[in-house]
Amino acid sequence: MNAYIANPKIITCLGNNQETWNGLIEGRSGLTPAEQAYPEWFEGNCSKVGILKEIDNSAPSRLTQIIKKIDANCIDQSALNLCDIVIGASSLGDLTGPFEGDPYGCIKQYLSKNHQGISEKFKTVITSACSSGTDVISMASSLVDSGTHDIVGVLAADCLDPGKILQHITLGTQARDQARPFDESRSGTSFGEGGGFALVVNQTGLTKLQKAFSNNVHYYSIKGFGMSCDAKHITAPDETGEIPALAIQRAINSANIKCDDIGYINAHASGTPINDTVESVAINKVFKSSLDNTCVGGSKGAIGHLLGATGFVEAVICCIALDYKTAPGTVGLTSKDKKIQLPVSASGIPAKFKQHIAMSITFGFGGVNSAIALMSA
Amino acid sequence: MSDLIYANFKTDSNHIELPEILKNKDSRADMPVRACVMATQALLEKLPSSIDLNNTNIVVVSRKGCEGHIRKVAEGIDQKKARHGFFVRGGPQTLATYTALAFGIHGAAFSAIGDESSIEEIFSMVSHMMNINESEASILIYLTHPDKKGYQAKSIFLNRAISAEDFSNKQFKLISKESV
Repeated sequence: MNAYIANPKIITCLGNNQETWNGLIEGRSGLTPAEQAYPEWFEGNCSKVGILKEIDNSAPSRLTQIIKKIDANCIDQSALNLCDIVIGASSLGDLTGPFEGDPYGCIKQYLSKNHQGISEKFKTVITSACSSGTDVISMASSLVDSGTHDIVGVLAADCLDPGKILQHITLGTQARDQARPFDESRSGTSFGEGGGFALVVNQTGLTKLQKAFSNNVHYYSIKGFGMSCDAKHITAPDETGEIPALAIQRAINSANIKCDDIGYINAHASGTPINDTVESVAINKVFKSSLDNTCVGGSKGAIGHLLGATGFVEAVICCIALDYKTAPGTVGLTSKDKKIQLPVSASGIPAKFKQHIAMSITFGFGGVNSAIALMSA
Repeated sequence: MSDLIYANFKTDSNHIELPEILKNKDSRADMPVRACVMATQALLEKLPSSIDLNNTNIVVVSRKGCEGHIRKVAEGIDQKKARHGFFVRGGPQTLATYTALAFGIHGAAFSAIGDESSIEEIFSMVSHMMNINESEASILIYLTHPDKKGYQAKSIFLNRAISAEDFSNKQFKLISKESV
């Protein structure tokens, strides 16, 4: 594909790109007990959540606060000006308030108020539940690969208000204590919030960026992507792993690579008992013995599950992993479930790899499965 | 097959009966989802049965997702009560994923939230995605809720045989006010 992701930046409960990376490598978690995050809502020993620091809990739109934080930490106005269009990724955004279930309206208004001339370039929000952040990069890469645009700005953002935590506690998707991906004691995920911004460009766009920023552009090749839908259940994944495997295989085929070329897989690794089991089955169906040469890990024990932004943030973690040729350990994992047949490192134990390609995998409600392959430039 | 194939579902009522095809699968779909399912059913009836739904994408464009379900979740939150049944069926992605569930569509399934001006970009994304992602075809739905009275869902079938001329023609027909 003629597509690159340039200058990707994220903000999570651990901090910016480097702070998030350092936390992952050191096995640190940025999660906070829900009763500390929202004392007026939760009490006792609640499970942990990944909320951003210095967010005004009384603001009518939490998503606006998150976008403001992303703007301050991840968006460069001169880069924004170069975009032909901007597209967003989110799941539901705010559940209450002026932008109830309307992340498009929220982002549009924020850009209109804070970035003159950019809101007209803002076109859509891609929403595929917890795969939104992956799919927005894929769709942006489709737009630049086709030559429709040269530079597409991608803004991924989602928020974790207490109402959303309440739904997930009732659903049983929120962990009893915290996300422990692939661990034998795992009981669910830890939800979080944040997101980031990046430019997705083709070769022409990359040349424009390099000229504008005096070659100070850090970029990665988007090799390919794949998506599939289980079409079986509203929330539960396909237990056979066949349809999730299809998304992974499609990404490998579209990238025109072999499984052996992939050094690191950032798995969805939500930490729910069923997700991790299905994901292990799906990855094994595709990779088979190639897994001997691949490192697998998950990030949600450290930064939480960032809902509609999680795929974007985890794709950027893949990019940083390619810089260091290092796969972080899986924060929250101490004793691996014997049914999980994946080469996963425990918390705080990073592993080195030699290949130049990493893959991010995400699954979402409604049975959406997405995978994207990224390569060092 | 490069002929233009469209379908349309339109109702002036804010209530849509649960489509028959969902009855044994999940009966709690919000009204906009029901409109998308009906528009897809009408489209599939015009297509040969040989269409490979394993390799077909379903993409829905709308200004908002499932407003009814999200309103119920928000009302619950006002009383610090969970309405998780509506919550899991209230994400905008359900416009696409419920439709996939109804018909067994295993390609990409996602929603795009935006106004009419987003259609051009979505068309371009989905058309090129078929070249990248090994998909045979795509079903694209444009859902509107005019004046909050009733729903209109226009569905269109795209495949790799689409030409540039077809492209602008199809795009126009999708957003035109007239029924297709």
